[in-house]
Amino acid sequence: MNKRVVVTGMGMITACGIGPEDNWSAMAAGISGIKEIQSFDASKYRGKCGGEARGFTPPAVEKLNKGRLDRASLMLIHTVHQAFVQADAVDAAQKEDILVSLGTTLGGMLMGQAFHKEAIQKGLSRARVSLVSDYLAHYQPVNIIREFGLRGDTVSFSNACASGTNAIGYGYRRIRNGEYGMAVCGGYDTMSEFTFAGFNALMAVSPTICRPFDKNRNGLVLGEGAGIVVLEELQHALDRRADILAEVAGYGESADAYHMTSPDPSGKQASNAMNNALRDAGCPEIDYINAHGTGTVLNDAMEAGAISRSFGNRTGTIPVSSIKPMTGHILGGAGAVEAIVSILAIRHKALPPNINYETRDHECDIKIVRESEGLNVKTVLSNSFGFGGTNASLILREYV
Amino acid sequence: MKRPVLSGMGVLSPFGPGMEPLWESLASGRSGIRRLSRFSSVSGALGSEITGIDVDDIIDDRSFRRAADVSKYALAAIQLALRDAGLDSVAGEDSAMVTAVTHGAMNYTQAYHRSLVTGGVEDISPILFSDSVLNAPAGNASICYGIQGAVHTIVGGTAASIKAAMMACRLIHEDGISRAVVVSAEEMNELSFHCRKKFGEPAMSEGAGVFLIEDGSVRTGKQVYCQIAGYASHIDAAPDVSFHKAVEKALSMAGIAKHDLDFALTDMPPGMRMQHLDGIPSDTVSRYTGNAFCVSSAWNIMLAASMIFKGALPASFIKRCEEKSKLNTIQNVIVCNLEETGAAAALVLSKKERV
Repeated sequence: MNKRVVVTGMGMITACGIGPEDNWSAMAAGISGIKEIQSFDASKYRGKCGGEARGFTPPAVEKLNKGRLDRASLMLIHTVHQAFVQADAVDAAQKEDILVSLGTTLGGMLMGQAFHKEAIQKGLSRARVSLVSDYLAHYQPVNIIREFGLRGDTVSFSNACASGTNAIGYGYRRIRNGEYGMAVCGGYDTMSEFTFAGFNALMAVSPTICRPFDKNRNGLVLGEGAGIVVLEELQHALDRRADILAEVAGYGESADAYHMTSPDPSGKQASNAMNNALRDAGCPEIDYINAHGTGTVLNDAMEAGAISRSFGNRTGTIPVSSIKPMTGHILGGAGAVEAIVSILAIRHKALPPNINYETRDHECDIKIVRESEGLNVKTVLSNSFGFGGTNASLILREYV
Repeated sequence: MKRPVLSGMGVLSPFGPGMEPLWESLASGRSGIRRLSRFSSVSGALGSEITGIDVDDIIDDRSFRRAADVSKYALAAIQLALRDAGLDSVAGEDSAMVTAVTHGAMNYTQAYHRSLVTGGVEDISPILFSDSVLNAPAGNASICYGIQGAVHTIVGGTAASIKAAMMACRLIHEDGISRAVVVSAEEMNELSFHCRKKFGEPAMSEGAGVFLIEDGSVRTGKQVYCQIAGYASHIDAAPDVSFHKAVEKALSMAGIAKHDLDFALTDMPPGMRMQHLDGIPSDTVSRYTGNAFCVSSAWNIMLAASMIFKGALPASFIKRCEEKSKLNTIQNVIVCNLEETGAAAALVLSKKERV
């Protein structure tokens, strides 16, 4: 018998704000956090803007050596703390085995980048090995275990831009199967020149603004941040008298097996991921789709087609938006941040707008949310698609 | 409840392509560790590297020749595993893949940074970026072999391959697929070597280990190496507690007691082995190959499967065992490890079907 899985805590950092409600206030108003990059010289790149989380102040760290932590770990510690506080689970989480399931594309790349730079400029023997202390992607979930005095298990997914969704989906399944009563799940990535230069080299970055699904879209903008949810088995949450924010109703995944950096234009496997999630959730009516919506020509046409494949003649009636023009593309953190925004849409009974959308594209024949609007949102589908053809979809619904 | 079995194996090790060269080297006690030749900055240091093998010749699809070594090692080992299992294809939605990596395509990452620092953005080749992401081996493999079920990359140290096998078993149960390809791959890199040396690591290695986990019901009448009887992973405040709990949970799931184990394959220090494995005979591939991180555990898993399938140990392993009476027939083998992070994982492989 499958157990029900609910969300009891959320933590979030993006260019739009620190904390879920701070983010929601900005997003509901259509305020973008995209600005000219400050953390490195971006003047030489095709795109010069991004979503840096400038409001983020690294938190006090109790058990770890703060000097040895990458910005990624510091963001995670902050968001996990936010989520635990909301779930009133700071102490409860220490009393049982819990799962820490996180997704990232690049782990502690800022420290890694500094190490590579030193090795090139000063020579390998003079590069500080301390810089790699938080470089590898599996160190960050362990840092969460250590900092919060937890025990249980960790898993670090690196499935490119689907990582955060995969991490939540994995936690959902482990709780649903009765293996854990509680899990800390989500995703993260920082703004690094490594990533910025790479997406520029691929000509995937917009030289102007990100406008998903618009006929004149010309690329993505990168962002940074982290999104964390505390998942619990329903009875576990009720026994703790926790405030239940939403329910995770379904999860689906698939792979394109098509191209390393381009999605399969047929959208067949992206649609399969959605269909698997819908089937897993018992085929509910979907009130809103939080799209992957990167703003690249190929992704958005594929995603619109995949939505159409999955929803048939209902496609034109379901509102769709992407928050990436406001947050930037947070890569491994995108799916988790967008899952939280989906829950906020359910709780606030409103939809975040797909800002910068002006011109309809017949290849993206879906119902775009142009301005924030109120709606009795009960069930949301959130999509994530990544490099290498990884596809993942989550279904979140109002807890009743 | 589906019954996961290990049905095919592909090894790319410094001893050569295939499981037999690895087994024969272990049987004769031949080490692959020698002075490294590939990197001038660490020349003279000890390790075991893939040399004298044209990996491109093993991979049928020629379109991956520019991929990073770690991807090519993975692709070659998958090809060998498919041949071993007698499968023409794993294409389609009925197959999944779980890949374990520790460092990923570190040589491309290093080359990319060098381009960025010395030549600027105009100097960067896009493939250096796209093939340096951690899930590039998985992406390339899913494209090369047409795998359209779930495709995951999990990052970790020596426990990652065991966690990948665990995830594969769960996907077979939960997604209703017939099989999952479990891939572990690492490439040697001078930066990793330099860092590990400073931390006092022993010799490093590289290569790939791939095994197929299938629903036992679809392998009826075909070769099966062993059953996947139990698995667990755990992290706790103290490393020895992590290890103890992972081993106990895996044994509990397998429904066997510690004294039922015939052998353990682990990189754990002897003191901890004695404390938690009650003197069960133990050894590890990495004594002969050096540390290939997540791949070392994959090689240990495949060695365990071979031991069960052959009902014997490589000769050099027998010499090291004090209690030889237990080694006449090998029925149950545990592969277990504790990472430097304190995370532990254990996998129990058995000849007999779990009741």
